[in-house]
Amino acid sequence: MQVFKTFFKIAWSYKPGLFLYLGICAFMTFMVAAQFGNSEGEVKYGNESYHIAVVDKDHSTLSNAFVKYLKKQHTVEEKAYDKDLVKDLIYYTEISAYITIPDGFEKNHLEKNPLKVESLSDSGQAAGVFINIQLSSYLESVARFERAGFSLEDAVANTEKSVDFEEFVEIPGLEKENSHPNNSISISANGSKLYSLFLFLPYPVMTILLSCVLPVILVFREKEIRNRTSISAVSETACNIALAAGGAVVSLLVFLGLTIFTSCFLGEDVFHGKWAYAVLNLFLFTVVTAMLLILMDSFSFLGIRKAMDVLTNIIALGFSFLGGIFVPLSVLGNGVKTVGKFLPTYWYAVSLERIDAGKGFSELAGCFSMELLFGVVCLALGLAVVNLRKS
Amino acid sequence: MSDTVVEIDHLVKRYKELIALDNFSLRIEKGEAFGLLGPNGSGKTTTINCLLSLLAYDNGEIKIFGERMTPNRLDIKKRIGVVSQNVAVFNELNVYENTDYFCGLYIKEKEKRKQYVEEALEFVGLLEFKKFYPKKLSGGLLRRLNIACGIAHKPELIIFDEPTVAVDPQSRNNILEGIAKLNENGATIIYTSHYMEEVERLCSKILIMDRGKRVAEGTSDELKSLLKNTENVIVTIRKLSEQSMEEIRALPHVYDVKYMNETLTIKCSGGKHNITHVAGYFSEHQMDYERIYSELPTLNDVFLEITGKELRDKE
Repeated sequence: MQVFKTFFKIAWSYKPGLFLYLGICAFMTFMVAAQFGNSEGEVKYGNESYHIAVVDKDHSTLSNAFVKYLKKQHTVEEKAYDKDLVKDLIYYTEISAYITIPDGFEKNHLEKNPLKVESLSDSGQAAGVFINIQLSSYLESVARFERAGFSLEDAVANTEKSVDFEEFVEIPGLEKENSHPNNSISISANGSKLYSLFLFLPYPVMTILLSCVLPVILVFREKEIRNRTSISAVSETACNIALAAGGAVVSLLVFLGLTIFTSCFLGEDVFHGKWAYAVLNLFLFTVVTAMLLILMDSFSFLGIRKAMDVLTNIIALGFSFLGGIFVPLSVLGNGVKTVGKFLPTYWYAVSLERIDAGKGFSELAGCFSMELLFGVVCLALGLAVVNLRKS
Repeated sequence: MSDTVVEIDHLVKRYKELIALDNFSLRIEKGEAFGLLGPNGSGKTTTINCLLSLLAYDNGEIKIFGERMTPNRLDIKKRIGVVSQNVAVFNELNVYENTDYFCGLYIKEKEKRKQYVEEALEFVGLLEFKKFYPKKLSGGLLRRLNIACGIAHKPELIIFDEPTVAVDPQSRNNILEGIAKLNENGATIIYTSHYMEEVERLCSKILIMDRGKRVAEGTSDELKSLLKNTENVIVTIRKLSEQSMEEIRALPHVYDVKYMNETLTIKCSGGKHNITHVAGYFSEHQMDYERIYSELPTLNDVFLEITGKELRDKE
């Protein structure tokens, strides 16, 4: 009990860091909430013109008709770019999508495995979702007419008539609003707000636990303190349990604090299915971060306590950037994504995307498992290092 | 019931090829102030660490209060207090909180602990600094806090591992007085140091160790009696002939004479009036000298004679 109580006394001495990161978190939450505060909580899309870059390698009737169709509403630039540059252009919103129509597209579009139109867009942004849906609905419409017996030319002509920007387009995972005067697509901001508010929470979780919990544990690991405690009437196991309990309580408080604070901005969406999954996702991430602390604690003999400020920034920022917390996953390069797959932040972001798209537990379980797997690996490595040091 | 508090039998501790403790044995009786004396690297701290089960050893046996000491013997640990060489306190806690933490590892009752903490702080003279944080304390006060943390739970056996390293003379004096008082109050003390003056002043029994081995053991006087050299007569004189040197060497009880940098060192073995004989020689030969004085041997001389090296590293 003495170790447990002292844990909190020492933890309190790290309050400047705690308040700093809570302040950052609060600021980010307010910013995100303010962004969604317009138009009674809705962000509307449709009848919007976007800047799209198209590369037509097929130059066929179908591809020409498709480009013409896009030009009706959007500013289409027929120009090829380097893939990395495209990502930059999308990231800086200079273009909303980059579409490549492959050679042989028309020839194969009715086959079982047709050549796909490659679309590169920021699918995390509603504009990207909107353009992708336009693209697929146009091609599906042509295919439908052809299957009904129309020639390609007729199918294209009929599609031009039937698929119109003024027509309603249903976007899976997004709410529609039939009553909108322009019949434009109206994306309800409720789901996206939950996504945006919960997306950056791993950063405060990591920074608070790394800068306010781990240093406290490391204080008890200082050679002199550790020796003095281990020659006392308190066993080493009891001391470790007390430290673990202290860490767990602080982690739980951080999780609850962030959840309650964030949920205050969600209005009536709190306690709904998506919210519950998002909270579960955050809880799992908090558990995983606590397990990461155990791994780092096992390296206390390297004197990492002195480098905690640097380590906190490297780990929290590194995990956040590589895992798609600060930069949308769609914008990340394949190499970065490959690295990101080894990080819990990546699986947190993927889970949240799926939660936002209304997926059920069966489709989230894999991502949750991957998050937990990272924690289990950290725990196993940490225990292995401790045992190795003991032996 | 046996009065033996600590019993170490044929302790062997190896660090790969290096033998840190080589069949080392010692016995400490209740109420003793036991000095463990040796140069740096002689095995003092290794002995203490093995005693406290902080280090596993290769062979031998350690008994404290008549019971075999193992890492899980919390009942034995409860009766031991340790003041380590390096200050072991939390910089995040103030003086009172630090003492309360370490006392709380032994004493669960809140009221009793409060009383013990107050007493410990009063004992080391830190009561007026109880709200201070360690960073605000001077080196001497920090050492005193270290002692308060080690003794607050009123242990029967207190181990002081070089507690006065890098402490100013005044604080050192306070610390030594405090330790003597603890011993007077009934605590058994183990005091390790390479400062022979401290050990000589505090300890009723002294064990000299070197290279993990026991070299000699006894009271300060017993150890000094092992020496051939019982007195050094030192004379500061500008000029001295070879013939005079030979004549001084022939004086009663003199067994060695050295003249260097205008200082004549005359080593005597036995005898009571050696300085009078030497002074008489100079006045008889009408030789002028600047200064003459006598020095009694120290534990350092004992150590030097037994092992052939100094106790303290030459600075």
